[in-house]
Amino acid sequence: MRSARVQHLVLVGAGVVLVGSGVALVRTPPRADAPDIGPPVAAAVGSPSAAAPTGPADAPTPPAGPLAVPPPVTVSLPRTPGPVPLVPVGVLGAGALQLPERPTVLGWYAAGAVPGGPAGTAVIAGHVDSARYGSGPLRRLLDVQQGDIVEVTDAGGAVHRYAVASRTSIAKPGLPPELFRVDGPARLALITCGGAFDRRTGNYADNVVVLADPVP
Amino acid sequence: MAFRLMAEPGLAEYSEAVSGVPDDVPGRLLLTPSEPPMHRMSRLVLLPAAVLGAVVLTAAPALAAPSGQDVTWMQSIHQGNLAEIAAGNAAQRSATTTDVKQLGAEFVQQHTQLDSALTQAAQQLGVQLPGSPTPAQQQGLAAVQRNTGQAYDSAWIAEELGGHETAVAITQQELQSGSDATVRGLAGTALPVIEHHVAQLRTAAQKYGVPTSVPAGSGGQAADDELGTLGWALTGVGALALVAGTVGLARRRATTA
Repeated sequence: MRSARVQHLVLVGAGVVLVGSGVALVRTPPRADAPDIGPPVAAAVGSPSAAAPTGPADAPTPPAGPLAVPPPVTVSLPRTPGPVPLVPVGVLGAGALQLPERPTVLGWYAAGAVPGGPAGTAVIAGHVDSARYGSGPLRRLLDVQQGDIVEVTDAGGAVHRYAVASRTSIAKPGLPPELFRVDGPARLALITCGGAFDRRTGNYADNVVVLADPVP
Repeated sequence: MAFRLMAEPGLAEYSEAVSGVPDDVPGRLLLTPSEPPMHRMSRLVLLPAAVLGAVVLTAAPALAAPSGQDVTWMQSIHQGNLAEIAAGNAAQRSATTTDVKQLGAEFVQQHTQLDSALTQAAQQLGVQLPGSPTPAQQQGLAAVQRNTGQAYDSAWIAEELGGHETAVAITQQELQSGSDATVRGLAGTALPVIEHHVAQLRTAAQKYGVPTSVPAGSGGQAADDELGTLGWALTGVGALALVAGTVGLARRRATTA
């Protein structure tokens, strides 16, 4: 009889320990980690001193020589079936990029550079996943490799090719203004979310920035 | 058929002076006496050629038809004008900032002006213009209209930047490879107006600053949640053990009492 009591006490004790550790694990945020590759964003894009983060209004007229590149309409990502549609997007008051609701449609930052243009960083961003619509093609950014090819098609039908050069995770909100330069070297920046996911607020802690260089 | 003839480069210069069609225009050749003599051909054989020549001559005014490039530009820029007029009107109703409302009013006025010159030329040249913006343009405006407050203005600016930059690109294309002088003239008038709109839109966009973050995930599906699953499993097993142990203890107390 005494041993049965001990058994029940052990059962209760083990139960408490298991429930405690279980709850602790449940409370640990899930993560979407994307290890950094290549040079970090600031170094890759250029030093802030050379940046002109407020610059676009000063140079509205395109140079007389080459024709202007029309805005992008789709982007093809590595190991993703089919091109993903793009829409022009702007910025909300708090400095957050205004993205299409569905992860299957991406946003092109219209006040920045145009993909395929002669200069500046063209920015394409989108939801990695959504509580309502599930995960999207930008999930692939979390495991792209250096040298992977990204293709952007413009409204005129021309295809602009880029090769992935780096990936950097940046804690929100901390995207450097150099990332949105309309001058400097021509590059493509693909931005989505990653890092720890807070189930309560439905937010990721980081932005994952993939930089790609034009392929001639 | 005149269409295809006009697609030949260099023919545009002749399009306006039909009476003075130069000798090297295709079709004219059929009636030119300096052709190699066709000694062995009877007059009957020559008749179809003569008829064809006459047809070509009567069709000659159609040589003034613009090239495929000209027609494409006229149709695309007309749809762009319609889209930008619609967006301008929408901004005056729905925008929250005076900046965007004013831009909208300006766009309506200037694109209406550009478009009335364009439709007039299209009528003269016999070019059919579409009656509404493209489905993509309509979807874009509809998406902007789903926003409210400051988000509306920001979305409107972005959408208009996209539309105007497309217009700049196709208009530059027309200036580079269009044929008809009238159409090229229209493109030349439109380009600085559209470029000015792009500059105004970029200035308006600047007031919102550059992004500092991208809120780009809300589902958590991309996040690895194995620990969470393990946690729920442990909690479940623990709860079972807890219940079994407590029930056992309670029963024992009941039997001993």
